[in-house]
Amino acid sequence: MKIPLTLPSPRRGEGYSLNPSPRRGEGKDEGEFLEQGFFLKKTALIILLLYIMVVYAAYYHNVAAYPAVKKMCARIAEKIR
Amino acid sequence: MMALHLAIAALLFLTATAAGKLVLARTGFNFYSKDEELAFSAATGFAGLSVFAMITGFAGLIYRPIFAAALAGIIIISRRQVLDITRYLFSGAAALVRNIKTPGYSPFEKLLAGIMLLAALFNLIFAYAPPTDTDSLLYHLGIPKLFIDYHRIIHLPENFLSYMPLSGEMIYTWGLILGGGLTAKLVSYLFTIMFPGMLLIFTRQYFGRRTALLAGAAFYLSLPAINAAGVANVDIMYAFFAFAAFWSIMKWIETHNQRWCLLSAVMAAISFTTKLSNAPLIICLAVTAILYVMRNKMPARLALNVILAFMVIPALIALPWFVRNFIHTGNPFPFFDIAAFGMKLHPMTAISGNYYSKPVGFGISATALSFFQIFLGNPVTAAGPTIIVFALPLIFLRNVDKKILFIAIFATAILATVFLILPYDKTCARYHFLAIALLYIVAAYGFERLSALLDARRILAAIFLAPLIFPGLAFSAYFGAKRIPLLTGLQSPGQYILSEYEWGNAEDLKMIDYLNKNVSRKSRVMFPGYFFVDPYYYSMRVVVAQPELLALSDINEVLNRLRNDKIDYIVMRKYYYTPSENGSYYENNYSSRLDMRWEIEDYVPAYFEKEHVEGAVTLYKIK
Repeated sequence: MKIPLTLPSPRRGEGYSLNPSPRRGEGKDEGEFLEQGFFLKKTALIILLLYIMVVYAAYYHNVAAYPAVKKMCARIAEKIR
Repeated sequence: MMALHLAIAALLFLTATAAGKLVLARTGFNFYSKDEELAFSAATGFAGLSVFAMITGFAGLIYRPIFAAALAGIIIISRRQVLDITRYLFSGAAALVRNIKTPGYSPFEKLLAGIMLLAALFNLIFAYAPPTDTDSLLYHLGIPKLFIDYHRIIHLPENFLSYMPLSGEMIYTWGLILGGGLTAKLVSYLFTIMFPGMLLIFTRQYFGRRTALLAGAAFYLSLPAINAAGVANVDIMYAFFAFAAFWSIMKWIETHNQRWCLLSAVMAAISFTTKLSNAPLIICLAVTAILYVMRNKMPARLALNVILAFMVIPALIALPWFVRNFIHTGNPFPFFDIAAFGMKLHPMTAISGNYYSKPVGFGISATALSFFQIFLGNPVTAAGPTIIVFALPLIFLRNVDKKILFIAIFATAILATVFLILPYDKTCARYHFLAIALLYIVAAYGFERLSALLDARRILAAIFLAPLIFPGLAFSAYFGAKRIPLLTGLQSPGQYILSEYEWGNAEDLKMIDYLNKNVSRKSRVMFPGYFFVDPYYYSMRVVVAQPELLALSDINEVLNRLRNDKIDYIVMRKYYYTPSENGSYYENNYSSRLDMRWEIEDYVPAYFEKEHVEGAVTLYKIK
């Protein structure tokens, strides 16, 4: 038999009414937590994007060295000039 | 004309799939879905066609009427399956068109499907051109073409690559004999559709449609896959059979039905005999199965069955090829640069091995750097950045799907083993097609997890799409567009071959033309100077001069050897040789073992007659 590790949460409008949990964005603690989560996500995303930039730079450096691409780039550069 | 070649290739596909479906139904296989059944049927059917061509080849029965009759026979026997598959494919295509219009598919999914379809169209134009690339001319199409000319699998001592098991070439034999070179190339093109198709079906079944589209598109738009669509190589074929072997072992784990283990062994055997470098697949599959048996405390007898299946079936399918080698050379593996137990090594093996080998060193940094070249190296041979970008970060995530973990570990094991055993071109992604296809599934899963976790679906989708569109789709369009003049008739096949031929220059092509028009088909022409000669465009037998003949200095010995080898003509290509400092012999540009010790010009007109000259290419007739 599974033993629940947490107490069942009260139904809406029942129990704990004297101590209601703060709504999203209201209570100070949860707000801080959400902010922390937001920053964690953004930091992780930035790290991932930096990693992707390095990998893509290595790959596209080789793509640019491919003869057909090189020729095309040279033509475009000539037209721009 | 394209429609005719495509129709023959499609008929081969339909017949093979119908035959496979019939065989699998009769042997009691059950499938989760019709798509899954179709994928396994195609793999089983083509395995059967390959074995059929091998048997007829050894029996000396490679005749067009026999192959056409066999095809007709299979169609008659499996007529119900033929009708069923045709109906299913047409209704599937119609349903796909209907579904794309409904909001069931997200714009991103539609985009993925759209670029795949576009690439398939460009790749078709790319594929519908006479073969001009080195490998197809030299052996993937060149060798079956000789077998067809001689109506049997003949001994080709002039080309040591002919000693490899040739299961893939046996499939090309069907295309060549029924429709010619263009049909064979379209058979290759169909394999480049079937393999990503199988990848799509597999991934959709286990991880959902979106992941399937991501993995399928990432593979199909990788440059090695696009390149494979336009040339008749065997890489996509071995990957197709290897993937079927991998999927079969997963089915065996799910169902515990021994049939799947046997099917996996058959598929692995066909894959291995299509490309020898794929040998680690057999070991990895067997080890996976044995570990599973041990972990689940299943009877030891099962482990023994697995070992037997993965030893006996590949050995049986590869045996005819190795026995043939042993009969002709006394060495079952004359293409390996090892001469164990006093077995004779083919003289060209060591020379070409030394010439091509580019050791990467055994240091950790050198190995790691060259390992990453598989993904980020030369764009046409590298898989692209998607796997490194989206699969590697999964190491830092918890709760990764167990099946994904299994696929990732299996793929990494195959990738690392093949990388280690390959003597050269270790970083060429086409040698790692199976591992790369599996890792694309992991990357697609990684993309889904990361975009959900980081709330960055749009930006990551753009990053995922970038290499698929450029260089992927752009290169497919470029390769296709280059062949539009040929397709529309603005360029003749001759002009096209001249611009793309990888085996020489305009003078060589003019010499081919001269030989085909003026020299009997029964003659033998010898070419000193290189390890191989392209047999595809010559109507007579062309052989490369072996080192021991070139090393002779006595002209009488040379003439005796030429007579023994039944050589009628010699084509000298001066660009392969430069006169030595003292002028006593010709130095070869590639290997000192191909130096020529007899000056052919010194014996004109006594023993040789100068028959035709095309710039630096001269034809001598032996008197």
